[in-house]
Amino acid sequence: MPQDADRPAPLLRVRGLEVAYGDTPVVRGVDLDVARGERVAIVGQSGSGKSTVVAALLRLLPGAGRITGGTVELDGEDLTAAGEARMRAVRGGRIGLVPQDPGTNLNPAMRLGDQVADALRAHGLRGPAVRQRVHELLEEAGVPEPERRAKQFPHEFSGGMRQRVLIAIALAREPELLLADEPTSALDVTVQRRILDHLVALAESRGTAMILVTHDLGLAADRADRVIVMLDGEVVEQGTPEQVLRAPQHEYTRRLVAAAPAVVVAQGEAEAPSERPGAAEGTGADAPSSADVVTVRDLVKEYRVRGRGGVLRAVDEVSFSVPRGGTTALVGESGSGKTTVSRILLGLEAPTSGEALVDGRSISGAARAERRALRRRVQPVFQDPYASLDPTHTVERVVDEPLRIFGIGDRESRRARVAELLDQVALPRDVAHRHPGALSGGQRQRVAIARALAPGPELLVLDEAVSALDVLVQEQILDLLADLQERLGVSYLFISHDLAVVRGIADNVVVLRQGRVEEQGSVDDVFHSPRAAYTRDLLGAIPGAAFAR
Amino acid sequence: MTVIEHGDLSPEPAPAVVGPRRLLSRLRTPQAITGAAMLAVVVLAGLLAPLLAPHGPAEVHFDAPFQLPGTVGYALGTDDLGRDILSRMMYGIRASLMVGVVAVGLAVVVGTPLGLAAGYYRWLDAPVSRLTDVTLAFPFLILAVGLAAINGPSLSGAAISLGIAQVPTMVRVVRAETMRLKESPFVLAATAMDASGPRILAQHILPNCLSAIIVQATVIMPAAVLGEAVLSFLGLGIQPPTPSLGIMLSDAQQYLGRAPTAALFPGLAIVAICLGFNLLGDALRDALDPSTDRK
Repeated sequence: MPQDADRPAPLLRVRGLEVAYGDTPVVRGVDLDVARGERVAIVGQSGSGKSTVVAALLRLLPGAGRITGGTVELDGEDLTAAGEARMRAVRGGRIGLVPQDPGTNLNPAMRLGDQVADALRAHGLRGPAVRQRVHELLEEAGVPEPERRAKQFPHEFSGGMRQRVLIAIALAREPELLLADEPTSALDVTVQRRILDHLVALAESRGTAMILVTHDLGLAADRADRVIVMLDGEVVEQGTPEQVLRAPQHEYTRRLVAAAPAVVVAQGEAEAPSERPGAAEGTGADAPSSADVVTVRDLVKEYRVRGRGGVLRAVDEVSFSVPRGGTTALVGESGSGKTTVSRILLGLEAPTSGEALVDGRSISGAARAERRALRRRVQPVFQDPYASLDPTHTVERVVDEPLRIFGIGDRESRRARVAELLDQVALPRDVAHRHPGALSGGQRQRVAIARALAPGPELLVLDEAVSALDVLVQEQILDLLADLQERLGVSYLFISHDLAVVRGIADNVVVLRQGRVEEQGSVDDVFHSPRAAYTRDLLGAIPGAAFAR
Repeated sequence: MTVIEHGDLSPEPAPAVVGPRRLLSRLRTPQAITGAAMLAVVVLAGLLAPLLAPHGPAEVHFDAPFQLPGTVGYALGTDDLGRDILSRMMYGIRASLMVGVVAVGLAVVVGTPLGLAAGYYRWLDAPVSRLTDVTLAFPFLILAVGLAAINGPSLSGAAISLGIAQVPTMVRVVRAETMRLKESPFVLAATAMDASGPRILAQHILPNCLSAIIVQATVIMPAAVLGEAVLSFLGLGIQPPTPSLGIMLSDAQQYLGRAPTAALFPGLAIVAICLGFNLLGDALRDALDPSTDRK
């Protein structure tokens, strides 16, 4: 119990913090202590109030948000009572913030060096020392060639590099406390790990205390001295990562631990590898059998790059197959070409060369009538449940649409079919008359699955279908998908950036990197004895993996 | 039937699309109410002119020219021919609003399909866009002069030329919305279920464009009313003695020094119409946009 006993007064001491947006309370009675140099992780799903706590500490609540009770003491000074001028000195000066999205938190029209310099000038630093310090900070944050790169603009930097710049800005004024609000969730997994390692090492070497906000329990356990779990605006559990992961007290934490992908990986490895239909056969692309729904052979997609006359190979000689009634996972980071492959399969784009066959035939090359028949067999589920349903339609109309387009049944039988589909995805029937706007993210994704199932397809293309969902909802949707596969015999092409999620659902895994297949094989082979260095990198980047062992 | 538990653990509050009922409650802002009230007064006065106007619009009273506002029988005074300014204004508003409605109708009816087609079908984009560019380059005055030359100056000529002049802005708004929606996952999903282009446009894209179209209509309306006043002022629109707000301004200009009120009231009516639509349009745009949630 490191947080008990003879500790000196904590750096940050929050007591009974209450925050409301308008009349809606979102944070209720949160207590929080952070000692000097301590790393505390706040874990929770969206809507749990974890980001609101961070915003409240800085008194930067958006819109109608305000602190309605409690105290926030930094070194004994109550920040809830501090004036705005005092808060400006605290922000950046004593408390640094690493924001979530590197894409929008830098000024696109300003050189990166100048943006770091701004933070230093606000600190009162002047003259040539500023430039000197900017270069030092960028170098410390892991930006190579800082003299040259300081003159560049944000669009010339990758997401990971931009996040390093944001870290440099947060550390510019040597704060005693660093707030990191989902600092890496917008980044690829391998980049995520490097950035987090770096951030933690930097904080450690400077003795900076840190609050790390994340939805990922594994990630929190890896990096924090203490983990705080929030649910519906309240702290439901706190303790060392050991305590929280190994002996969770609260019901919610137990479910969170059970759903954490990395822990599932570890458990899966402890048990005997599960046998699933189609798991063994049909990975080799050069030997297509009738057991395969999808055969992709030497698929190439090139895009002309504007202006430079160059050609970008988004997909480079990719071959794989999807066993009938089974699941093949396509795993890769952004830019790996996984979405392009799915769009070609769906007939939304034409390949440059090679073929993507569904039941031996290609959608993009097919004549109108045949294309229609093929499209009935392949249906997509997309990532963003908020954008994938027409907001002006009711759920019934959404699910009914493919039935109408493919001319299945009359009005009466279609209505019965919609009700049946809603049952299948475990939605109450009365959602049929609601609009998507009235549904939660998980419910919407169920509607999207019902729509995709409506014409009775053989293959669902699940393009990051669970990536936008909270961990627990994610687990439910994955369960639903497994259940549907068992009952309906539908095959899945499961596209994800997250290797950990894939473990539970896929039979085969295809690892893509920059348009090429790095490795493919059965799930057990890829997870137990990865051949490609890149796969090992991806596996190592699964947060919490090391801990769960 | 299935064994999976219903629903989810975390029904996060979703930013809903703004439905009609929520729209009304979101429109209860001082801005929207002011705009709506101004328009209600003006529109009612115009619509009910034949019932409420104390005098005929062209009724001449040679015995009572240049009466001041407040004179018995002539609430807002009379002009040089002793015509009742209040009555003429009510009929004038009628004419102005008619021109506005026709112009907006024309812009919506012509502009929306062009915008949808240009945004959705890539090969149509260049020709339609060039056409709108050319139309935009033409001042609507030139167009009105041309139409007047062919048909003689008239209310319908003014309305049509103003409508044509507003088509490009509507095309641009709808085209931009269409291009944005075309890439949205729900349209991709419809494509993947083999929905045809016209079906996607009618079922998915048009309904989602409606709020943008409505807001744009509230921008076009005052522009058309102002345009009518300009055309009539120049003698290219409605012909005297039929009153319109523009004609009243044009007439009043001749004796501005003697009876400034003859210009003041129709001017105020134009301001009320334009301001009313602008206020209401701004409020509508905010209310229709789910991201501007303010409590």
